[in-house]
Amino acid sequence: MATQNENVSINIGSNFDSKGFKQAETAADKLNRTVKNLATTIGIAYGATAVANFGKQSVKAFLKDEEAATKLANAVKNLGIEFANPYIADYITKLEKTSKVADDQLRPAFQALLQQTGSLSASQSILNTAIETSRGSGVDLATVANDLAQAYVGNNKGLKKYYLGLTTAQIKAKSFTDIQKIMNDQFAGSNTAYLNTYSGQVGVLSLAWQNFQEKVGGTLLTLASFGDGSDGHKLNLLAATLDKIGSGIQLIGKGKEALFGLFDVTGKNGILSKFNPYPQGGTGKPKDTNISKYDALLKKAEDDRKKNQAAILKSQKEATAELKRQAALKKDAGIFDMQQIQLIAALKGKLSEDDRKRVELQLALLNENVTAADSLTKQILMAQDATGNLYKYFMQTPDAKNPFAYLDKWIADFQTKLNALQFPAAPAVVITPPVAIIPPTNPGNGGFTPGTGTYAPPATNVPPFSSGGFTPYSSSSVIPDMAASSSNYGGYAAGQYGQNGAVVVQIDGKTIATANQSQSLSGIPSNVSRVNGMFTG
Amino acid sequence: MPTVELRGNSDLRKALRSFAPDLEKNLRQEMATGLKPVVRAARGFVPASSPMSGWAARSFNQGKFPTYSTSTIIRGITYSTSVSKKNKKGFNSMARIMNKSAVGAIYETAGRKNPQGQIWVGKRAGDSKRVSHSNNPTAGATFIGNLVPLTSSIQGQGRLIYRAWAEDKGRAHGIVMRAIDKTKAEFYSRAATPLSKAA
Repeated sequence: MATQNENVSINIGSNFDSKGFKQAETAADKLNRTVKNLATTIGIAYGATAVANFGKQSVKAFLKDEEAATKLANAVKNLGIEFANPYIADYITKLEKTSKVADDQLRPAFQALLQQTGSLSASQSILNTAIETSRGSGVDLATVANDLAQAYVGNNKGLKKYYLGLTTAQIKAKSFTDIQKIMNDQFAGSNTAYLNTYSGQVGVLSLAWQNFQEKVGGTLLTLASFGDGSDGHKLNLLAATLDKIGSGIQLIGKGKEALFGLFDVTGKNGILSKFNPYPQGGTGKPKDTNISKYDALLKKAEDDRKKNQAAILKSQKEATAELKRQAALKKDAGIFDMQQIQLIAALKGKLSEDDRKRVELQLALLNENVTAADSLTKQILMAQDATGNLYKYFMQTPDAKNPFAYLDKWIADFQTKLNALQFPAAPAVVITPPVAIIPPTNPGNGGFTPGTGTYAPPATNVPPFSSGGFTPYSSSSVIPDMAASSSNYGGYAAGQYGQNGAVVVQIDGKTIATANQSQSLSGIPSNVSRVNGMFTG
Repeated sequence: MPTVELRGNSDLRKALRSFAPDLEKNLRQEMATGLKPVVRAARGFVPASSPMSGWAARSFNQGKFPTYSTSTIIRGITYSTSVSKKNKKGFNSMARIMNKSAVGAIYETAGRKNPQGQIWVGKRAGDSKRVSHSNNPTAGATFIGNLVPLTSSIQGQGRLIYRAWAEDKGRAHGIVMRAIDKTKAEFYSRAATPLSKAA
């Protein structure tokens, strides 16, 4: 009744009790302060964690960049133009700045092209085409560079996706020079147009961020190696370094300048720059980018490459020719078919005249010699039947293509004969009127004479009704033997129902009385109650 | 000198019990002086027998609706001078007059919200207690019509304590409030008086 009492009561001196509210307010204030402090703490901790994560990502980016640079340098070295490495590094850096394509993408693409063409100038030209095509088509640079590298050696299969306005046959027929020209015409200016878009601007920003990460990663590795002064255990010290950086950030606070100073400490103008063993960007700063003095060497390398390619091409052509020759030989080898060989061998043996003709016929059929086959067939058939009937029958044999063709004519003949059939006229039917029925002489009592017990059928001409095989009932013949002594089931002789004699029921009163007495003494209630007349047992 | 602010009735009564028990006792007595006549009058308004024969007490009652009982209603009409618990809106009171029994509350308030009874919906229309499920569509109006009319007071409408409060015309309220003010003033007066040195 609490609710009702609130309504059914008169409160006097009511006052708002703000004590609880004040307490709640105070508690909320405390909670707010606590949350703020907690948020501050979490923020600092999160900031330290974020810096640590950024450091890890930066190191990864730097290592990936360094790996790509090393791969390219090694590929250049294997091509015999190791001297061009500084120039290539400089070219990649400049191309990155102008095209705003990350060096991570440029290096693998350039490497693929350089390995395929063997020519520095050709690779550069194709890479420019690849960049424009990539921007214009939306296909990533690595794929475009791979397709162009394949096209350079005649495999134009991958160019279909760029929708150059050429059929598959035309693409296959075009030379790489033509293909490159078409692609240049189609996709020229795509990169510039892309960079003017918002997406392109974001891409530029992303590229700058990647480069920043790479630089930071290099710097962090520098700091890590600076601790022990050796090249080893850099990564082991990296975690400790990152921890120190996080602590440093906590101490320094949120000052951007301090943060910038931290990251720039080993930069170009940083106080630890002289201890930084890694060049900025991690790609190895080219010391001499003047490639013109290596023109002769480059030309020689390109010539060697072309010579090698020509040799490979020649070898491939020879291999193709060899394959063709082998195919022809294989075809020719079919002449020496085993069946023919066997037939010829058989003919060389001692055969009867008939068998020889048969073998010759098989050989003629195998060689599709129709004239010889017809002649031999006639000879064989005539040999079997000198009268010539077999040969005639063979010649009259219906076309094997339709073994039932002759049935058409037969059915037509059968139909004609069927139509020509004439049935004999039916004889006239003569119906004689029935004999007049004579009624019985005494229809009232049906021939029964009362008092005599005899029955005399009245005189009539109605024929007696046939029994149809029905035997009238005879008690002495249908009741089976029901004697208890019978060995049959219940007195019935197996398989003789209704065929034995009359049933004889013998009731032994003494036996029944004894049985009833035994049941009464059994103690079963139903049997005992028989005395009371409730059950008759 | 540090000051103590008493917020609300609870603090005042606690302070009185702790520092001026005599004032607290006196307050209770003075408030009771004002409330007793109202309670007595309210009890006098309770009918001696059920207003309706069907509502009268019976030997066996299966229903949940309480049967009419004069003694139960009278026993339920009482007063309290203790500080009540805060209601859901945060208010408490120094004293109050109550009609605590269920049957008393029914007699007190029937028709206050719905003068013609609750809206009739019948038995098979949900189980809401805000509508009438009686077989008789006019049961609510008939029930209210058989009771004495509601009396309006400054505290609300009713037939027993509200009627008594209305007929008291504020005398009880004045006594209680004057007692509270006097006690409060006395208490602050005592608190403001500096302790004299022991002789």
